[in-house]
Amino acid sequence: MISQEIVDLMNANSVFAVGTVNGKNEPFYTRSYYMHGNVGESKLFVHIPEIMAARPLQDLKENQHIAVNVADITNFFARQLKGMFLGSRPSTSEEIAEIKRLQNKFEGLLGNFFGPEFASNWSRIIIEPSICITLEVQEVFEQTPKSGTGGKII
Amino acid sequence: MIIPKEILPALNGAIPATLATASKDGIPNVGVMSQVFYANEKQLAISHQFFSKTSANLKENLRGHVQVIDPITAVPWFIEVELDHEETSGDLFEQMEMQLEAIASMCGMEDVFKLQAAYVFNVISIRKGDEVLRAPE
Repeated sequence: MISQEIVDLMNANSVFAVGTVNGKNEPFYTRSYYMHGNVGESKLFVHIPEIMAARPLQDLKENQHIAVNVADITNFFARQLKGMFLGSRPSTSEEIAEIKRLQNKFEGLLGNFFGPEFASNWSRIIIEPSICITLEVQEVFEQTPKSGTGGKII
Repeated sequence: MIIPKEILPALNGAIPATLATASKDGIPNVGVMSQVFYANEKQLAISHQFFSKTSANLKENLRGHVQVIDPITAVPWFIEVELDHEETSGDLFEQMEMQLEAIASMCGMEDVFKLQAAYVFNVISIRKGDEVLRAPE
């Protein structure tokens, strides 16, 4: 179940990480550039640039388990959501517009943290076309770095 | 697999890394790592601070997938690893502890980031992901 806290976190200054596993039980990490879902629902929509999507999509054919980590880079507040793959489709033009808005927002933010050259290069990441993966969230875990991280919340 | 020297800037701890692991039942876990450290030409070490699920997964499935990012070019590196052993003392542990203290100081986490162990991984493959960036204009 997606809580208000998770929606707020996804709308904060957060970065998104996706974990999948292939049929040989080999894990794989992919970055997402936009995630969204509604409070009280269990469907989460995870957008991955098509150029990065081949391996996670293949993994999800072999193993439907998926994990996503949402972490606010300004305060380290983080949650991990785990669930099952439901399907994938191309991201819509509205969703790609949001991904571009977030990329522009992050260019400024990352410049403050890591310097303007890194931020400028970060904005060169190819985010379009994009694939939207839908998953059903089944569990939520504390991921903020502190004692007790990893504990199950939902 | 020999670790290319070109990756070294991405291992300086400036940009947090990410590690994916999997349980024996095939359930993934993905966590942000403070530190991926060059141990030797074939091994990388990752700081174990408090990532309980990652540690549990690595006890039953040694494989991991790491991403580190060059702090200037923003080019990601994708690294397949397999846990070799862990260290809780010695030169490597002390070097990592010192670097972790510097990282913690930079991000105001001195009271939180405490090194529990250095997880030493054999590198299976390394791929530079420069295809994900457009050419500079």
